[in-house]
Amino acid sequence: MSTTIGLGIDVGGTNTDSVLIDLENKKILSFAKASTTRADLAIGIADSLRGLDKRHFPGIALIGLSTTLATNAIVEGARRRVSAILIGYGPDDFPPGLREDVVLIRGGHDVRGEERAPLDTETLREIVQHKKGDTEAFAVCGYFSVRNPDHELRAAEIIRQMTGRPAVCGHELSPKLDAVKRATTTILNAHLIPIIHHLVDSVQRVFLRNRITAPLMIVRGDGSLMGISAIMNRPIETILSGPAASLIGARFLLGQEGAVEDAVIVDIGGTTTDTALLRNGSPCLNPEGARIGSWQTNVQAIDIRTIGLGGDSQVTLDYDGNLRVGPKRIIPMAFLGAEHPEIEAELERIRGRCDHLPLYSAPDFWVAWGKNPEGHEERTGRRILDSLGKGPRSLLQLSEAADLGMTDVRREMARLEEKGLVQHCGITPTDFLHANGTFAAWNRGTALLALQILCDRHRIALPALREKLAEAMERKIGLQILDLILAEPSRLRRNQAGCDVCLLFWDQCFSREKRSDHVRFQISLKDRLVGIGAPAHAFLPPVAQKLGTSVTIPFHAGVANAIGAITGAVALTDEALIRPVLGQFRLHSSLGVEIFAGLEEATVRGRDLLAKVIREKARAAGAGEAEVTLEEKEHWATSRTGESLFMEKRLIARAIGSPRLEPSRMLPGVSDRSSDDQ
Amino acid sequence: MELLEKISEELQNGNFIDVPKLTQEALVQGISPAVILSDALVAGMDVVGEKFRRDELFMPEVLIAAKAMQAAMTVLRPKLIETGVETAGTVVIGTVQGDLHDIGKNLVGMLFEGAGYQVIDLGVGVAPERFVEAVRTHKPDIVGLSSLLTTTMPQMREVIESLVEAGLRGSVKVMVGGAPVTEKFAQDIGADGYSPDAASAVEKARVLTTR
Repeated sequence: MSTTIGLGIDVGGTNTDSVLIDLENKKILSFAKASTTRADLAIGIADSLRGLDKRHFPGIALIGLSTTLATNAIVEGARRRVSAILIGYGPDDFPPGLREDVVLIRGGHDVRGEERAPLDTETLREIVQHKKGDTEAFAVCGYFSVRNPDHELRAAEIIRQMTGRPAVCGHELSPKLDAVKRATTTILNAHLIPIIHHLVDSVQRVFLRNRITAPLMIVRGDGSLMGISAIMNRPIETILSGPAASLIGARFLLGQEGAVEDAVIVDIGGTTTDTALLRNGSPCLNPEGARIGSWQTNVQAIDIRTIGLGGDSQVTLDYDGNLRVGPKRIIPMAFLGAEHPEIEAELERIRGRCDHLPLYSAPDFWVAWGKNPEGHEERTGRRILDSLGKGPRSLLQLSEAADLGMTDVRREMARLEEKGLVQHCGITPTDFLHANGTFAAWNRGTALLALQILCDRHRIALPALREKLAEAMERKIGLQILDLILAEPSRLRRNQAGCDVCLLFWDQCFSREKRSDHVRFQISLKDRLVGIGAPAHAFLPPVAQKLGTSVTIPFHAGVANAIGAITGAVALTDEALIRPVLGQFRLHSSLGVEIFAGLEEATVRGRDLLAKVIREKARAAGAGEAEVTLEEKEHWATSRTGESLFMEKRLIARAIGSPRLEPSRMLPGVSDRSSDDQ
Repeated sequence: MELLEKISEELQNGNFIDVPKLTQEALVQGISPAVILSDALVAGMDVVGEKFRRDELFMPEVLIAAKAMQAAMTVLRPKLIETGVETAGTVVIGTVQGDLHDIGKNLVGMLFEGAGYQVIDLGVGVAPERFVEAVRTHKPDIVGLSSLLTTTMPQMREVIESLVEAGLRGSVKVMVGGAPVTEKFAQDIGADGYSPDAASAVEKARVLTTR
């Protein structure tokens, strides 16, 4: 029996997927899906595990987890009790939105790593004493701390001694300049610390109940894995964990069919389509740092583009017959029809009265969502909610029930949707796919009826409507992919308004109607497309064709995320910088600043220090044998008169290693594989 | 306009005695300060700049034309402020720390002023922190760094890094110049622009701020 099995779990926005892979021979043994339980993620995880083949559990030697927990927590504004000690910062050096956590302390350094003012330990101690009863985690950030971490390190030590709480420093999270980004990153990180502790606690219990004792690792936003003891202090690095796992999973699946170097990964989901790049087998990262919601951090994560376009995006036609998809997500008519077949009668009725509907109206329905609240709704809202209490209702029915014009009903429904009391249902790409037989999961009849109403109202035949949808989807996805590719070498940004020639170009490439007879534009993409997500089968091949490249949709694409959660590697980088100052050479590293008389001396010390530190960090992150490489970049400038100037030497260390596997402790003797050969 | 043409001509000749007198006369005649600035002074400096680029004029001649311009500006500036002329933008300039040269910087300052920019001159030997403070206070479109010593060239990088650390790098365009500075050096340290002389500095600034 194999003892090199990995359990991969992806906790996404809608689904919690799990997969068992034999890491040695790279075989997928079992997979399962369950619904994500937002209130307590562990429940969804337990549900998902229940769908797996339990016979493999004793062989599990590693668990990998990817989750949107960090991203969601930040975007939804989850706040814990955090104190941010900013050393040598001014009032403009951090985002105003984080003001309430911040305390400013004198100290900090300058661009050369020299102290601008001594660290005010007295005030620090007073503040920590005052705050310690009320703080779950501390963030410590110093001005120019990446040129000299001394004040951050000393302050963090004082905090730990006085409170026993976690205190994470800015320079530990990134070696990059920009004090504002550093403060943002470090403070948000502190907010996430209690949240990730809670998650890890509850999932550990689920594993134990299932008799799984393997070490747990979490996927970072760059696709690499990190053991929980290391990630507990740096949870901010798990943002974009889900999409990163997707990328690693796609790479794994492609790798099964041959070596993978370059590809564009397109993940078409229910609400959004995400695109990202693989270059030389590695995910492309965003050099500016990850942006989450309105916060700009310096976290190294994948460069992923997202548009509000997916299988369940709302499809509408305007007065001029232009079709729009998304960004709003609604319940597809096919799904509604599967749950409530009685709406077919209502759809027939609407069809008969089609000419009396507003032109912009597709057949719209609404369902009540959650508990029906008492009171607080005045007459119109009350009548509508009462009507919905009996089942899904069309716009027409609600207009009749509330005795109100359809425009007013729409306005009311938008209000109720915002309050979370109702859900909108209507035509989506999923319905088109049901109509043409590609999907068969739900009610084809309702999809067809709904589409027919839309066709009748706008006097357009169904094949023509289908063309419009295909064109809209292909154009949006195609341009998204182009934006990603063009941004690569020179950070080119497409002007959304566009000059007329560019618009003509896009029309030529994506529009069927607007084809010129006299000039042909053909895009030819070097990288192939890789599609994941159920709608990929339907919408991606034509996009590939328009972009002049091939498309692959791997067999297990449906669980690519969970696969990626367990097939990544531990990967870390660290940097040191040598700069000339007044005839001497300063070595700046995560340990501090050291001064040398000669460049060679400084370099030797820098190499030793980096190698040692990164090996230690790799081991602490859960890597087995780590391969360490060192890159050295010397920068010399030449003046106009030909004089040579030594500007700097940058040392970059990289460590990559497979995670350490630990076979199960539950069954004695299982680690001796030879006795298990059948 | 005859008077404006005369001002322009005398400015090109470097007549720093008569140019301010003629400028005053133009004001008395009721010609608007903005028109005097653009049609006489800037027009005159444009010609000087063009001739300098074509090697028809040399630095000393540019310097005395600039001196005449400066004299005219002393008369015109208060009137410009009064009438609220819209500036083309704001520029902060300075010579970097450890360097005391200022002739080139001063010339650039005058030419920018002549082109209608508000100029904040921080002087010489300016530490990175003062540049950062000036950017924070004045919110300029351009920061111009000058260095005439090879040994102080690296200071320019330190100013740029200090702007990055302050989170202000994206809010300005940084230009560098000075005898030992090259285009490649400017690119290497992450500056937005370089110009080989004062005359082309203004043109470069315009290009950088219209994109």
